[in-house]
Amino acid sequence: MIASIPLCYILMAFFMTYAFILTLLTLKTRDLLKATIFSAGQAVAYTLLLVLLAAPDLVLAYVAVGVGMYTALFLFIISRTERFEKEVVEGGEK
Amino acid sequence: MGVLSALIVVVLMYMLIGSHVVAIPPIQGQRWLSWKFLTSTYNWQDKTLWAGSPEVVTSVLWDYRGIDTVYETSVFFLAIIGGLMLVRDYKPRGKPTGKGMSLISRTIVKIVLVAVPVVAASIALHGHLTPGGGFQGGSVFAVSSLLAIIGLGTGFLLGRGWSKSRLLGFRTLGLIIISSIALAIPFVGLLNGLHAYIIQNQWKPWAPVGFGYLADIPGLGSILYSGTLVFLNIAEFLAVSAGLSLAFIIMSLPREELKRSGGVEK
Repeated sequence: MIASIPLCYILMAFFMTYAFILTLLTLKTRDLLKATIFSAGQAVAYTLLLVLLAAPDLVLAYVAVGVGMYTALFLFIISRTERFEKEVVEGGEK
Repeated sequence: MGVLSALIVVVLMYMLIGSHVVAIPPIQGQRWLSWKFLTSTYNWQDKTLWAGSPEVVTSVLWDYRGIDTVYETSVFFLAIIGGLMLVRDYKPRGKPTGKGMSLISRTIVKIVLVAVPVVAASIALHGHLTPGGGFQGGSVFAVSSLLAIIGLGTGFLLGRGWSKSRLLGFRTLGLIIISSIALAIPFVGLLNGLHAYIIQNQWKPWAPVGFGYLADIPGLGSILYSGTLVFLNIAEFLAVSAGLSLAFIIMSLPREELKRSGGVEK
């Protein structure tokens, strides 16, 4: 059954799963710097997915915005605030 | 733990393939539209609906749905203007001091800084022939200015005359070129009493005004320039690269300086 699936589909499924896991990690982590890097990794996975979907126009915009500008923008913002997210519990901060 | 996560990955991949998420063909009811675009964009036999460009995505963006793209560009312009409103009282006083990174990083940034704008310009200027276009090229260019800001310090670009008013001028120049190209064909049509559309690209039997598609240059032969597409791509490249660079420069200004000029928080 596996042999009948084209390699392209397997790779696409792999990159989609990879992006999903990285998105989960981005949401979970309290270290904002790590979250930004996970998010950039998700953007890389989406870029490869778009390459497999034969959409080079989208790849060009996505690489520049998703991997380059977005990551740099968030690193900028994090450098002006704190690196670690505080846990917020009911009735104020811990 | 590693085995478990590998198992989860395999199960998720199996579900994606098994439920035909990654293998889904385009919806049957919409195939005629893509067929129409693919067969009319660069059809030399039937030029009724053609855009004169082998690059279908750029043709759709600047020809078939050109007004949408003009609207997108103006929305982006308004966003930049809105951001600039926050720092409207800021006036540069002397040279901003930003050291940038270490010597190794600075050297590498200087090497890359030559290559990235070249790639950006080639993406933008070839936009009507190969994948790419004005927005893509402009955002790649903005990455290079961001790199310069981070690697070489804030003063690097400001010291080379990348002032707020000059960048805003380039941004506005791009928009003026786009709007004048969009209105040129209706204007010519109005003068000659012919039917014409806003942001029309090529000649049509019922709207016989167009930009042409081949330029005969002595010594180089005839070059395909696809009517409005190449000019709109260049204008969009100018607008996007200047606008994004301006946003990054404003963002990277030292906080003390913004405070002193009284724009942000008094």
